[in-house]
Amino acid sequence: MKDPQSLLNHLCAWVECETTFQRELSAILDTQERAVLAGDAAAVAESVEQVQAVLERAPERAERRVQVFTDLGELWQVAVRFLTLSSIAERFGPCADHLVALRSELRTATADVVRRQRRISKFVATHRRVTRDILEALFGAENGGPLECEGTLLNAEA
Amino acid sequence: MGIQGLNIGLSALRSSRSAMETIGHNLSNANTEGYSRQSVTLGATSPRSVDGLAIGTGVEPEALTRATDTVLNRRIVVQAAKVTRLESMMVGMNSIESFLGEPNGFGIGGLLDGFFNSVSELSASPTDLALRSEVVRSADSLASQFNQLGVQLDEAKADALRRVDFVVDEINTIVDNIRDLNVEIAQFASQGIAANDLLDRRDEALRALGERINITYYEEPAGVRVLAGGQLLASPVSTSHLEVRRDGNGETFLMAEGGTEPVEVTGGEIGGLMEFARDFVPEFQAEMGSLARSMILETSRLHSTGIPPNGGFRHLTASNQLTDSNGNGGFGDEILGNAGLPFDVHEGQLYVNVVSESTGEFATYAIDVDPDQTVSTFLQDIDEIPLLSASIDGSGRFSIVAGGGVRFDFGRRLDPTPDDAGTFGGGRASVGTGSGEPFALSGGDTLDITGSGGPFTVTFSAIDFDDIGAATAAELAGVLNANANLQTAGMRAEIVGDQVFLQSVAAGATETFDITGGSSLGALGLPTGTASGQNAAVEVAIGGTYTGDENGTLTFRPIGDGAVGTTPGLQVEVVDETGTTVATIDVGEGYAPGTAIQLADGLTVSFTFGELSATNNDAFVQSHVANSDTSDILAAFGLNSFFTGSDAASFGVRGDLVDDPFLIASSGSGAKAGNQALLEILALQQDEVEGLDASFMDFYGNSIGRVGFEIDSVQNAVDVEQFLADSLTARKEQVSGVNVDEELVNLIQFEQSFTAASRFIQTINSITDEVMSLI
Repeated sequence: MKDPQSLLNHLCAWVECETTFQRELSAILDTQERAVLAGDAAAVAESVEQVQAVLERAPERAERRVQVFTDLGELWQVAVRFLTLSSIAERFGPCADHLVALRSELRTATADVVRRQRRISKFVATHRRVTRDILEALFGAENGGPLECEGTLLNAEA
Repeated sequence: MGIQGLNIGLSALRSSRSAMETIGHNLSNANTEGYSRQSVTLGATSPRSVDGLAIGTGVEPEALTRATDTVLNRRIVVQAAKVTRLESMMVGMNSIESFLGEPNGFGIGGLLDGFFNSVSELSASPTDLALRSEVVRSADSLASQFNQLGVQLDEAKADALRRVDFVVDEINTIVDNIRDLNVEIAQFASQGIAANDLLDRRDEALRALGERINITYYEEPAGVRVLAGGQLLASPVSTSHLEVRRDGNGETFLMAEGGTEPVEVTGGEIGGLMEFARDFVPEFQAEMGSLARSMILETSRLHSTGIPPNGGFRHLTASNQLTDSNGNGGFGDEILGNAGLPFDVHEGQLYVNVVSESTGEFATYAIDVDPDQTVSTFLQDIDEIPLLSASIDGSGRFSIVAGGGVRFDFGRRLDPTPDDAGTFGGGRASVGTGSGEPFALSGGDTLDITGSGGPFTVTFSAIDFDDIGAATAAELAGVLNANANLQTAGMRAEIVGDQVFLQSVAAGATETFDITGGSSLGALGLPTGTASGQNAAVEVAIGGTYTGDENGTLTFRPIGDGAVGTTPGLQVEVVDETGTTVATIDVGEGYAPGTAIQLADGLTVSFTFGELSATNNDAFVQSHVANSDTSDILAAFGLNSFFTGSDAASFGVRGDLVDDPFLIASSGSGAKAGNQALLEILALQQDEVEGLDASFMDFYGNSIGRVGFEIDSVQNAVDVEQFLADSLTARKEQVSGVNVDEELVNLIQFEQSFTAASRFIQTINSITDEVMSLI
């Protein structure tokens, strides 16, 4: 069984890493939002690639988190699903002040991502609806079915 | 996120949506004529000041701009006017070309050939009825084609002018549209809105107007001001409609409402239509009219002086009517040159032959014709010809009727026995004056003659002459024939040419008289001595057909005295009407009497045995006629004409010929199988015709060649101008056009990127939800 302080240190390291990730994702979403609003398809595509690259690193962090939370659950004989950063900080007491500060930063960064994500989600949905309306008005759904289907041909000379 | 953050998002969304909708608008109008690509310019909204800092408030559509080049548009309008002008001309000109029916043989060219071919075939067998009928049929086909072409040209012109009416209606509608657009655009502009689609529609309306008429336009803040040919058609708030008007001469012109001068039309469809109707068709009509008129006149000139195989006419009625120009109810007082006849009458001579139906003998009468004389005096001249009478019917048609036993014609009959008086070795005792008139006699001059009853003297008195010092042959013969002693002596005076011959009335070797003296001998050139008749008179025979170009006379005089066929060196001198010797014929020893001797211009002469006397001034005169109507009065009246009418529309074949093809005048001299008139008509096919400066065929060929050349020229011009128009349109497309591919690529890229973006939304949501649940 690992030393509790060592587990606290691993947890703080994960929170810092996750916060960095959320901030990085937030920055990318900010760029994507601007691209969407500017109608710059190329910039949107580029930002999507960046999101994809960032998300590719998510499983590693998730594994680290699961390991730390599992070890802490075993330490305190508590089911993992009942552990949160807040309850962990309470259990560690005053020695977890740093974790409390890190938790606050992570919450801020994640909330920012959620907010941007919702905005982008709304914008993208709106744009897609407008674009589909235009394309369907021009070519009609009967000519090829849903536009996202593979193999749909658009008569560019029409 | 506060309210301000939400506003930023909404403004951005609205802006982006505007841009997307503009793309859609562009795509929707990609094929809309005259549509100009539009684009949204996005700009930052005004920042909000918070604690001295300028905080951004979002983005908004700043302007919706139209991609257009006004200079280019103006050039396109001008170019459109050039192209449509030429194209509308081409349509009309092509229709004219189709009317001509060349080269399928049914056009005038082929029918001219057909007519002349039929004349050629008839000239080989002038009495063949089938060939005569063919000449009439081919002539009728030719005339019908001229008639039809005349109608078709009139219709082509009328069609073009009807189209002008229609296009003017279109112009007025477009002009109203431009005014309405001016008003609408100005209303939007007053609200600070650029009405791009309306501006496009107005540009398109201007282009459509330019296609119909040459216009210039000026863009003003309140709208465009449009002028056509210097006349205002549309102002920013009003219009002036065009109206088609026609003047008394049938000329079509356009007037703008309220305008005082006609619109100067130089381009657009109307420009082409009016140029076609005003210039091209009338020019071609004039050419075809000239051709038809010349064909009628020239053919009729030749035919009217020809003679049908069965001889001359018992009666003839003119095809053309006189006009009672002074309205007094009669035609006789009309001046020939101004009597409403379709062809001009010139100063000249008309030869009229009166032919005995029983003997074929004829007498020729020359009538002087003056365009300034009245119709009545001409009628009287005809009336004065023995056995002919002339009249004018109530419709103004001139008629000539022959009395019993004779016919008349206007042919170039050749007198085969020109020495009827026997003054050239004839059987009568004969002596002629040594020279022709005028004779320089003096009052009281005498001529001493001894006849069968003894001597007598003829005394000349000035009272019997207009001018005894320049006495005419007719006056001299008149005085002599009136002399009782001369009559008692069995003598008479005969005029031959401008000479006067004293002759015994009877013929034979026993007939004699003596010129013994008198003071007039010198003036008259009479020899003294005995004149004797002879039993074997020299009979002169003229043969052949005169082929010369001029009317004239040949005077035959012996050189020396002697017998035809036996006297060595006996010659006959032939002089023309100017006194120029044109031939000297050996008729003495070695000449076989009766043998035809070839003279110039197709004539022959022969002499039978007998004595000739230069001493007694033997002579005879042969008249030959190249043109028996140098006045054109027959063609003008339409007497014995071939064609009738005076232009393409009235072109026809004389009804008498249609009813009886044997009336086609094939002979020039009256020979039954003669073909001189036909050959002369045939020569018109190639000979240059007065007034056309070309033969009929060449003139027609030049005319249709000109039509073809003009069509080619216009087609080339259309090609060039269309190329320029296409170039300008392509440039406009570059500036204003919607590139569908490009716009679609943009849309699809958006679609794809949004789809891609949406793929990660759920992932991110999962991550953030999970993280938030751990916090």
